[in-house]
Amino acid sequence: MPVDVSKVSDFDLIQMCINEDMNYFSELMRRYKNLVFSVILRMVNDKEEANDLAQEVFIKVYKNLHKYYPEFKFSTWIIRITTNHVIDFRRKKKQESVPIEDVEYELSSEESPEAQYIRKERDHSINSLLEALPDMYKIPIVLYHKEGLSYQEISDIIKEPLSKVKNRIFRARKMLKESIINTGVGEYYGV
Amino acid sequence: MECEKASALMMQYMDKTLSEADAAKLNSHIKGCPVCKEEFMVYDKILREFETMEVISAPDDFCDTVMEKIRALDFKRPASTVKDSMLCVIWGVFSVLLGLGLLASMYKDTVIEYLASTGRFDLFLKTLAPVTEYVNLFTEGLTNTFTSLSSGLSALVSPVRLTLLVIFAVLAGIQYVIYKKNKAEI
Ligand SMILES: [Zn+2]
Repeated sequence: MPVDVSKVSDFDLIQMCINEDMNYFSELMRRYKNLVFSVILRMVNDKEEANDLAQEVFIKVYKNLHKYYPEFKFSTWIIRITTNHVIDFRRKKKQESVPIEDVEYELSSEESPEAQYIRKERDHSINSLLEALPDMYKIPIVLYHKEGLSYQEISDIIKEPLSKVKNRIFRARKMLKESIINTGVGEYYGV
Repeated sequence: MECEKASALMMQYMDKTLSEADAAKLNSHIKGCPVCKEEFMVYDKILREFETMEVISAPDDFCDTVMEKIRALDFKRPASTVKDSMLCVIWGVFSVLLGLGLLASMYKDTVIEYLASTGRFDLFLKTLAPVTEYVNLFTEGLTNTFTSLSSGLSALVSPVRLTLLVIFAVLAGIQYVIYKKNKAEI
């Protein structure tokens, strides 16, 4: 590649990728892979699965590059595809999954002390509290507080009005706060 | 300050948009209100938890793996959509102008009356007079056509206008759908 691609704008890079050389896609991916991966991992909580899904997302992005309009930031467009893909994937998975009564529960007696420790640690972290939130609250609050997106960007991603986005983030904070206070995790925080 | 107001200020704190003056107000409320104090401590903790949350990175070989998969796809991109969207824009502008023009000519009496009443468009109106006449003829012809078309329903003029309006509304609707479809969900 003759150009210093790291200085090329997202939009130009997309055009180059479509019209010149598909290898420019690699640079686009380098810019957003961590964002996509981390959004997915927060939604599925399984690194293997997150990796598969992230790969699928970028293949989807590649196939639909020509449909990108610079009306939104590229990152906004990509996260929108990401969240839709994960929600879709989970919907399908739910349909395929075995009915609950057929699942054999494994007793935790064989859990190693390390695993137990990790599980305990996780229970105290905000991660596990986030996990318990429904997507409609979890996605906006993670995008806002963790990924540093603005209310407007989130509204573009989930295609809901700004007021609704704010409302959900406010409610998500309150839900997190309540679960911290009610489960006594607050003591762990020294509150 | 009431607790409700304090709660709103806490949200501003979370948004990092709390003004200094409001921060002072919140502070003094918290000092006298243990419930809000606990809430604030928890919110503040949540904020810091988010800040210190582990940064997640994709695996090192991520890009290479995906590029390989893409190459294996042998994917052919559909022909240029730039041309399509240009056509879409041209067609859109054309039909909007046509619609507006027809509407304006149908309500030309009102429009001309208004323009004349302001007095500033005299010259403009004079220049346009021949055009207006031509448009008059054209519209008459059109109105007649539509009247005869809808004669089964009614020979009155206003229903014809209504029919035209409906037609344009439908046209605009179709256009909107086409536009949205073009940027279809992925
Ligand atoms: Zn209070």
